[in-house]
Formats: sequence, C-alpha cells, structure tokens
Amino acid sequence: MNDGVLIEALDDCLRAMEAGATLEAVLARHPQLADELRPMLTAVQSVRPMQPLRVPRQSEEASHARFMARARELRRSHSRAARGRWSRFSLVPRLALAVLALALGGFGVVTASTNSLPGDPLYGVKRTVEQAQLSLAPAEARPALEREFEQRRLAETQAVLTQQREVEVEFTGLVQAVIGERWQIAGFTVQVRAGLAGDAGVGDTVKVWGRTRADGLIIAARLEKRAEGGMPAPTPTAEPSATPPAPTTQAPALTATPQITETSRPTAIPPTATPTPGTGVSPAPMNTLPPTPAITNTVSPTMSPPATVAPAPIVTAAPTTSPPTTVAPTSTGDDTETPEPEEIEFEGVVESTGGVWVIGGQTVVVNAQTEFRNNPQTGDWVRVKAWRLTDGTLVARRIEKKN
Amino acid sequence: MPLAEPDEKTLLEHARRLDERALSEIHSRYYGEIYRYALYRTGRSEVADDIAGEVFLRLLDALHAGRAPQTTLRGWLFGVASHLVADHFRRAPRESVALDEALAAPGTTSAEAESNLRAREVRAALRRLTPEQQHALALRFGDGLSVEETAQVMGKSVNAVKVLQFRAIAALKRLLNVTEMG
Repeated sequence: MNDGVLIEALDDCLRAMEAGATLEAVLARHPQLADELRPMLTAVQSVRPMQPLRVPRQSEEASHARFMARARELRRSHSRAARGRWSRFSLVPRLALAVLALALGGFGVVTASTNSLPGDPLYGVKRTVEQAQLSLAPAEARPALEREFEQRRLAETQAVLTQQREVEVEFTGLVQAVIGERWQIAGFTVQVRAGLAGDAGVGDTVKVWGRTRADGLIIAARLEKRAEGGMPAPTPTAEPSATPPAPTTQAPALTATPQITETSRPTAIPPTATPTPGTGVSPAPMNTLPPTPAITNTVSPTMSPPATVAPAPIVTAAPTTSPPTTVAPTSTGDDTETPEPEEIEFEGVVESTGGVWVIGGQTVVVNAQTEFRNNPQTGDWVRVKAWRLTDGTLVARRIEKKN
Repeated sequence: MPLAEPDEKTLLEHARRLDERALSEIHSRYYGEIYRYALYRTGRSEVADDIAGEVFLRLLDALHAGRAPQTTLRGWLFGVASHLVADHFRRAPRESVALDEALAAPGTTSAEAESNLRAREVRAALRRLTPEQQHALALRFGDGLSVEETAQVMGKSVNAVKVLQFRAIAALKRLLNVTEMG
C-alpha cells in the first residue's frame, strides 16, 4: 500500500473522530484500508486523554501574578538602564544640549527652570529643554523619558491646584470615572463638556489640555484618547489572530479566568479619593477605576470605611474638606433608602497591591480600616473579607494570608 | 469596555517594550495551552504547573534581553515548553511513569488500577518516540490543535506534519503491540 494514501486516510479519520465520529464510522469511509487503519486509530485512542485536560485556575492565577511581578521588576531595571544610558550619553548630543542651553540664556536659566510650574516665566524653557532631550534621546531611551515627563506634568498639575493657581496645564492619565460633565482623570476632577471627548470613556488613557481653577476643578479645553501604555486603543471589531488559538472551548478554566483588563475592572465608588494627601482638595466620590500605576504612582487615594459611603449624587466638584457623608443624600422622605453594603468572603492569589489590590482577578479597595493578617504579599494565597457596595465595589475588611 | 483581541504580531511588538497589558494578554491567551502540553508530556500536574510558569518567565527574560521571538510567539512558547519537558526527564528519568493524571480515566478502584497500569504503558511508549514525534502528538492530542495549527507551531508544512503524525502513530502502534484486530 502506498504510504501517501494511508497518510491521507489516517488524517481524514482523525479529523472525523475529532469532529465526533466513532471508530467504526470513520473506518467505513475507507473500507479497503480499514485493516491497517484500525490498529493505528486504536493506538490513538489510547494516547488521547479521556477528557480535555483541565487547567487549574489557581495555577494560572499564581503564574500570572509571578509573571506580572517579574515584568514590573524588569521594567524598573529597564528604566534605570535607560536613565543610565542617558547619563552616559555620547558627547555629540550632550554638546548639542549644551549649545541649546546656552542659546536659551545660559545654564543658570535652564537649571532655574527645572522647578518651574505652568504659568511661571521659565516654564517654557523647561518644556523646550524637555523637547530637546526627547528629540536627541536614542530611540530605546525615549519611552522612559516620555513616562518621566508625563509624571512631571501630573506633579505640576497637582502643585498648581494645591497653590490654587489658575493656569494652563496638560497631563495624561486614566479616566477613572465619568458622571455627566465631571470626569475623574488621574485623580483630578475635570470638567469635560459634551462632545469634547469623542469616544473616550472610563478605562481609557487620555491626554488633557485645560485650565485649573482655584476651586480645584480643571476645565478641559481639549481631550485626546491615548493608547494606554503604548497599546492601540481598543476597536469594536476584533482583528483575526494570525495564529488562531486552539479550540479552547473545551477548557473553561482558561477562558473563564478573570484577567486584569478593562473589561473586568469594575467601576467603583471608593469612599473618598483625594489626588494627594494634604492638598486640601477632596473631590467628591465618583464612579472610579484604580489609577494606572505607570502614570499615577504618586497618587495615593485615601479611603474611608464603606459605612460612610453612601452613593452621593455628584452635583458639584467643588472642593470639600468634609467626609463624603456630608454630601450623601439625607432622608428627605422622597429618596429611597440607601442600600447597605453586603459582606462577602472569597479566596484567591494576590496579583497586585497598592491602594487597590487585585486578588483572584477581583479588584479590591483597601483603606486604613483594612486588617492585614500574616503580611500578605503579591503571589500569596489569601482569604478576603470585604464589603460589596451597591455598585459592586469591593472594600476589604480583612486580607489574611493562608498557608 | 470590550477589548479587541490584538493579533500575535501586535502583541509581540508591545511585549518587547514590556507593556503590561500585552504581557497579561499573552499569559491569558497561552497559559492554558502550555499547561496542557506540559501535563500531557509529563503526566503530573505539579510538574506541568512548574513548567508552564517557567515558560512565561523565560519569555520575559528573552524580551528583556532583546531575544524576543521573531515569528511565532505561540511556537516559541511551545518550543521552550518542549525543552523544559526534556530537561525534566533528564533530571528525573523514571519519575513520571509512576502516576499519570493526563491519561488515566476516573473509575472504581480496580478500574483505576487497571487504567493506571495501562496509562503507564502508554506513557512509556510515548517516551520512546522521537522528541519531534512526542512534540507533535502532544500538540495534536494533549492540546487538541489541528494539523494546520500544529504545522504553524512547529514551523513545518501541513504535509510534513501529516507524515510526522503518521509515523508517530505507526510507531506507537508497534510499541503498544496493538494488533490488526485492535
């Protein structure tokens, strides 16, 4: 018998069996080869698992946590290396910068501009020097430099808000909440008039050009959706994969595992969210997402116990130094009763920590009242007791590391 | 907001910059396949767990060192998994014939014992195939990849995989002493 014919017949039988046909049925398709095919297909039956192999969710979650933690480590070392490369940068660009600095009025001016803020006379010098740095930087150093400048813009915006100055600012950050024309972006309350934002929304990274107001509000003049972390902005139609994944419908563990993506990040109502402690500016609570770590590291939202978090309607973003209870609806007789938060418990692997933790794929807000037992860290298996607020936000009461 | 599924090329491009979302997507897209592959080859869930985790850490190291996979990410991941399986058997040559979680069927105690015995024979037979044949069968039957997907992962033509599959099964038939009557 010609091997080529047998090879094709075997392949045809395997495809038919994979589609659900029985051994006898597939052999009937090749009666003259049945004697040779039968033992081969019998051998295949013995090496094909009885059931699709199961992927334990715990394994996947633990691996994901280790993987992402290692990625963060490498990113940090990458940034340090990029900064190092910049500092050892070759003579030519350094000289170019020096010439530029002198052209701008000498080293003193450039140095003096370093700490300038939007609206300051030397702020333009600072931005020009940054542009020069960017254009002269080697390609591999540019992303780190851009991130550094983005952090500067956030810090500058925070500083001018703290000083209650009314100046033009620009910054890039995650849209954490949208209530009408009041947006929470990178911890700031921004007024975005209808139609200005295009299709940007909660979970998107945006660049904002606007003007600060003495009352802590930023009035957006322009807002542009950015690809977060360099990823392309999501599009409604999925591009077909160059290598289509294996038929994983038989592996629910893989597809059912929640991931840390926008799709699974719940909109949340944290009790309070102040851009930076000590600023005296406390935007009212809004539907929020956890801040993007890459951009808002300096922003550490403080949280109050959820008992004080009645979902307050946002009517103004005027700064308040009072706890959110002061803007919560009081019983006027025509309001419905504020629903009580529900207490829940669950276990999972800590995927990330900070003001907001991701545990077992769920985003959990921690605050000063959260009790930590056995020093839980990223990668640990923990048991969580939490309040689930009416909007689904989880606020941790206790996070206990399990053995 | 629904995320569009980026293709492998786009993912790789962003992963080279250690982009968090791209990396997370890569892990969720491929972890299950790599775990199943390792479980099929080794028969032990704790080993599969170690190997699958290690594959992704090695991807990070490769990306960081500028040695990122150039063509097929999926093929690269399976390739690393295959090397790690080989390393595992080099370190513990007889370990994985003791218990088989991938091929054993659930049943009564006696049926289980019989099933385990059979599974042990099957695994021993699989281990006697060439590394390439073992790789192909694990992709086809452990992960359920089609011949076309297997060809893409292995960087071979579809016909070459059909021949490889045929030879592997023929060898397996001989090793398992499957008669013409089955």
